Amino acid sequence: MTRREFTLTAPAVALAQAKPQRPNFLMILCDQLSLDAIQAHGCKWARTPNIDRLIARGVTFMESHSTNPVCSPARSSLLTGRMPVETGVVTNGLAIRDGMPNFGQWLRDGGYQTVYSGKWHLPEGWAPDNTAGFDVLPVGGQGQGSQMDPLVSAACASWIRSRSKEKPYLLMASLLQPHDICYWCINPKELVTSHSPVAVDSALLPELPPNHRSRPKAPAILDKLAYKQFTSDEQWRYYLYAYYRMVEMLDLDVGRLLQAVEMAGELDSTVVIFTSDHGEGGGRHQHVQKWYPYDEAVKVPLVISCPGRIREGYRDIAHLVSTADLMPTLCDYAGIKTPPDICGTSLRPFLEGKPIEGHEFVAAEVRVSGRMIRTGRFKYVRFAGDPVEQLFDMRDDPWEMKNLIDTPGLSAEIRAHRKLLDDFEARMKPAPKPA
Amino acid sequence: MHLEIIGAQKPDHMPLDFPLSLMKPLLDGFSAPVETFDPQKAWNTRYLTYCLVGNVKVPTGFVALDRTSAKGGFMLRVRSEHSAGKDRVHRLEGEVSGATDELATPREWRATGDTAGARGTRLRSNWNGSTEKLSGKLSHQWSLLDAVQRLPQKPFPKLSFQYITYDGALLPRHTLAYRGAVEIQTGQGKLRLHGYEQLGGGILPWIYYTADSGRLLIAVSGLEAWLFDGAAA
Repeated sequence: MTRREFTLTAPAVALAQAKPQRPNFLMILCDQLSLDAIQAHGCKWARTPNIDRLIARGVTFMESHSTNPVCSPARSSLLTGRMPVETGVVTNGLAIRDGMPNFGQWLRDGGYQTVYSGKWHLPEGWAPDNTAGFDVLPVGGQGQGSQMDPLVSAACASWIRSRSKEKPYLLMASLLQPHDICYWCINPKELVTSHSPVAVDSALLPELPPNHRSRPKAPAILDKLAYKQFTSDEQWRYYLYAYYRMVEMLDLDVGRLLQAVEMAGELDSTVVIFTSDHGEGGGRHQHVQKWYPYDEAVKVPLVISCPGRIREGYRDIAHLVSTADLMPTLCDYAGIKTPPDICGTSLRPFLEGKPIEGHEFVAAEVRVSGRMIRTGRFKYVRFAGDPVEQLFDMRDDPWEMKNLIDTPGLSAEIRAHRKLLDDFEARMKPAPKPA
Repeated sequence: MHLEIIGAQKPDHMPLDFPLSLMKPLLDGFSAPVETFDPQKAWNTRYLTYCLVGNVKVPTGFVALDRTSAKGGFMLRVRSEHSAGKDRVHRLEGEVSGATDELATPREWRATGDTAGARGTRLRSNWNGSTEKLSGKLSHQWSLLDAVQRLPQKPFPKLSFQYITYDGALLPRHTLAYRGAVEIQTGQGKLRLHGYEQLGGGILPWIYYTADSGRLLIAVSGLEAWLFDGAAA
């Protein structure tokens, strides 16, 4: 059966016909945004009125996770509903394996206009001729978000205004901010001085997180990731100051996109999804950037809104969700079947106020050989070939400062998490290794 | 390049030459304008824009400003172009009118964005607005470029205002302050620059460097730098 035939099998068509008003989808994917860098999520160092506006009229998931805290793997998973080991994109710069559909292809075959703008990174930063399943607007790529994102949001807004309304659409606006902060880590001597430009008004500088100096016992590969280029608290604080300004730049572009939907009068017919590929270290555990399974990197915002269809102003702290859940959620709203073997599950029932199952744990991959499993209370981490494992009590130690793996009283929990991860991995269908 | 701080700075503050040191590869061959400049009158200036990581010496585009007097204030026309990657060019043109006060308080503005991509694809966007229904101290992304050329070149009480972007977004809690002077060595000798620092939401700190004449020669924010284009003058 071809992908098209699979998509348009009778049950899928029947479901689509039952819902003639299939919604549009605007997916806003940002790059390196921490879940807690949003004002409505309690951040007091950044002002994010536009993201907050979206949160106020939708559901925000406070336990939302990336499947891999690195750009390309995370994006491959978000686009397919499969784990990175299955997409074949286990690190940056790889393409999704042949024959595995992304949701652009899937929804296009299901009758949607599918359009992409911005960073792609699978593997090219911007690939108008190699972005399967999407028409590509003429802006995007890697580089500076401060330069590129306003173009991406303007292009998307322009497209929303001028599009043909014959079909519903899936528009993916892939913004770069606040990823520009990576330049501050890569070029610390050039971009972060010993004295910050706002030192005279230190109230402007963010406080360091409570786990800034914490380095819990960790597998060797994680132990190497403490960032040592900043030699003073002030440098760290200025780094955070810069990061939060980039978050605010992102917020402006989110506002530009939301305004386009609002001006088109399509707020109640457009499911807006806002998320990030991964988070940002932000000084927690002396980390910058990503590449590790601590919450600062692996947790991402996930906001879904469509007034009238999705409950509004709901902050969910109960469900463990993953960016792999987006493919089935889109399919559910589009009235088409999901591709086979996806590992996520649709969030639609919950978004509409009904109970859902299948969110008792989430899994993530890290740096090719690392795996993380997160259950309601615990997070368990292991790396192939490394005897040091990690177990954190996320209820009593949400800042992940104490590795409990050697705690005798928790041996049953440790065994259970090892088995849960073993079973999850056994269900994966890994991509063939490149020749 | 020789950098010498000649203005008073608080010792715990970022050195004023810091963003300039990032631009060293660009400033080595920099020629400052020699003609007279009166920021109160009509003027035009062109800047080459750069990204301060990667291949720093290759301009990413330009920004051209053309100021005239109008309706008891000023009119600033802006035209910019920069590469948005392979085969992609983004152009922005527009204008802002405003008062000749310390913030160049804007009255009206309009802007048109045009992105040309591969295979003839183009996308256009238009914005316009006015401050008629806004209150409080205001400046504009473009009009502030006029303001910094007319401000005192000595310490003054920090200016607080709301900042309006070219497409009309309103960013609160912005400040502009004089930060002192630095001296740089150019091919023509020493050149004194006065630094003004803009802080606020939604931007990385901007530092605007003006010559003694008031002419804005350099502006730096994060990875973005503008440098006066002597060839265009």
